[in-house]
Amino acid sequence: MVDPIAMPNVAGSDSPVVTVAPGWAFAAVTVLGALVVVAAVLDGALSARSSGGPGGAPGGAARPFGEAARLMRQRRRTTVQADSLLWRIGGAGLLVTAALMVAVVPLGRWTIFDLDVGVMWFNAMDVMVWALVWLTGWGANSAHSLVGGYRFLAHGLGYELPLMFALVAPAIAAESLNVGRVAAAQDGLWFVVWMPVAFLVYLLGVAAFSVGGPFAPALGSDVAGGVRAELSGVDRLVFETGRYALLAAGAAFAVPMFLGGGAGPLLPDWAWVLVKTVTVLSLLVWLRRRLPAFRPDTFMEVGWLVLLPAVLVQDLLVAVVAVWRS
Amino acid sequence: MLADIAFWGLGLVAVLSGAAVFYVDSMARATYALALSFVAVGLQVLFLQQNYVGVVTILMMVMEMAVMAVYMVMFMGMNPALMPMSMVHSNRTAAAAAVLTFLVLAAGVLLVDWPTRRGSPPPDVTVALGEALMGPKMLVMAVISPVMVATIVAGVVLAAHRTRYDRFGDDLRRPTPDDPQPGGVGR
Amino acid sequence: MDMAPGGLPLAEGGGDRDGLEMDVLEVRLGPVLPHWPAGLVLHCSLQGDLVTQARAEVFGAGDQGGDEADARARGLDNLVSVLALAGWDDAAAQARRIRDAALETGGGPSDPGVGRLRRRVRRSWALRWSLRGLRPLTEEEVRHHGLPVDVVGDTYDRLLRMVDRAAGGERRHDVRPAVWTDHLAQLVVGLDLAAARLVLASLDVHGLRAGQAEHEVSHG
Repeated sequence: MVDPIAMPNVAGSDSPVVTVAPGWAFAAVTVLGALVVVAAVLDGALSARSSGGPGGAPGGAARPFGEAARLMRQRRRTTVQADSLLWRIGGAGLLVTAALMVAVVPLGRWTIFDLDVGVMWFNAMDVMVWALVWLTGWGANSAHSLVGGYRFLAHGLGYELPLMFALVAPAIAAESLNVGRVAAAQDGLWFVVWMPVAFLVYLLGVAAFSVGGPFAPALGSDVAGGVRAELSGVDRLVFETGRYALLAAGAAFAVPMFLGGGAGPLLPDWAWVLVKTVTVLSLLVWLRRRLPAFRPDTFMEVGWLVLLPAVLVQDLLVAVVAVWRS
Repeated sequence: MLADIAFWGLGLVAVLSGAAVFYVDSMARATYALALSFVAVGLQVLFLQQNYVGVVTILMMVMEMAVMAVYMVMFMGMNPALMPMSMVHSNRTAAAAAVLTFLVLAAGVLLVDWPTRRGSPPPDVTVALGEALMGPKMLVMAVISPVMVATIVAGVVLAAHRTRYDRFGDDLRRPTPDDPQPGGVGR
Repeated sequence: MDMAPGGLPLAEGGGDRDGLEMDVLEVRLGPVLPHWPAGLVLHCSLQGDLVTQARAEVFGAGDQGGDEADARARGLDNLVSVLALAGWDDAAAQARRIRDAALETGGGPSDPGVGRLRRRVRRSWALRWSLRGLRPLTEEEVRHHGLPVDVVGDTYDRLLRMVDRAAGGERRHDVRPAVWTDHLAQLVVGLDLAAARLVLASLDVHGLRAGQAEHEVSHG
């Protein structure tokens, strides 16, 4: 080989964000962990409120911690002829995927991985969730968890394309797939203002790839917990943490894509990113409790006949505006 | 240096997990060994500065393997990890074909007089690759895409044993279709 | 095929509703399952998650008697089941709270929370969209299966009537007739697992009788 191989190319010298040293990845994972705790505590508090009443609130906001302690002490359940390798990969992979998602999200000016196709990277990671959830369902060798795994794929076929085209809209407007540039392109007018449809579909997609709220039939109580039916102990803890982490990563990615990145008065830009992320995260946690499940067999048609055309029209409008502006 | 090690390491992962497809004895493992192989190739492509192509490879292949898992269980039977099954057949022919292909390709690598680089790579190699591949053939591609979609739709229509007369009645006047599995938007 | 790795028999093939051959998996549902009529055992043949055959049994379902307050709590329990199976944990928790309160007060005047829950359920478009058209039953079918008359309509209609019954709690409750298990099995064939669970829960079963109704006598 004549030329030395270069490291994967980053966005170049005129990028609006600064790539920090790889060691800062630990800080990013810590922030992600903190967001997971915020989401879990909020979820616990909301669920305690709805089942509330005197004496009826088990734990409330402290519930996630109690649950984590309980799971850490629980013995691991085994099933006959389980495919442990695939099962563990599936269960632990969600957390890894969420960490890889936030790698391309700039915190104000700093980013860990300033990939020039960061939007596609995020998209590739959310497709990973398909494989991981299915593997978790498959590995246990149990009918219920396998049904759960297939339910997730059925949902995936419905939500993934609308989600992809929802992410296309900000990229067209910014004329870049680099997350930092998309954030910088929203100078003055946030994309959420003139791409509301794309934003809503994106939020729906985030709920979907974190297997929560209306997209929870894969974990339904009718199939004994679905994908996680046989997960126990630390495996289950990692799986649940992974789901919250995906939700948090989705919320964090919405900030540079639709909410102007670090733009905002008074506070420094990194603080604005965190404030906006926590706001979107809380909104998602709250909203997904308000809705019953979308049954996979009926949601498919909604995804293809309602959401997809709606997002495509949104993309068309954005493209027309982008051409007209240039 | 680090990049070299990573590149060759990924190459090794791609080849080994590709070989694992035939070595493992379960459908799920074979499918996802192939997915891993593709992911490693996709990451390698990132090192060739083709970021878009690399990331799209990862995206498409993982999705494809997930969908393949659906068909796998639909048509191949065999419950999760239950029945160990061999992933190979026609061993002798396959081995001969593989060795022959390897020899031909290796001979090609050694015998072809590879051109030396003229000039330097353009700043955006993805654009250059796209234009080299598609530039003069854009019209063909633009014509082929709708033809392909039409073929798929026609294939499904011909394969479906229920027609619109089954769904909407003989005079097509039924307001809501009579489907064994109703869809979500009530059409 | 009598291969049984790990002591588990393999699934065998069978024709599915689209005329393809697909694996058939034997799965037993019940007798103890959350949001499930107590004591009901359903031996299902599944293709994917589609119930293609079902056979029902009852385990130790004696007299499910109790007084009026128990009947009311059982109705609320079934309401909790439908909401939980529809994936709406928030509303299910709300219904569970009302049920606990109803057991404590012992069939006294109903909780104002019932009215809130009723409005919430009626207002949810997503719930309506999700349950509309799910296993509609005509009056004739209801008579044929020996079911209570108020299960006519689709699953959404049945849910609304359950909520209404819960809301009108002061009125004396008619004791709901026991349901014949064989008819339950017939009702879920052709549905997927999720839909089958929803439909069973929406029938508001208070008691089970093994076997099937004799059509001359049963006019539920």
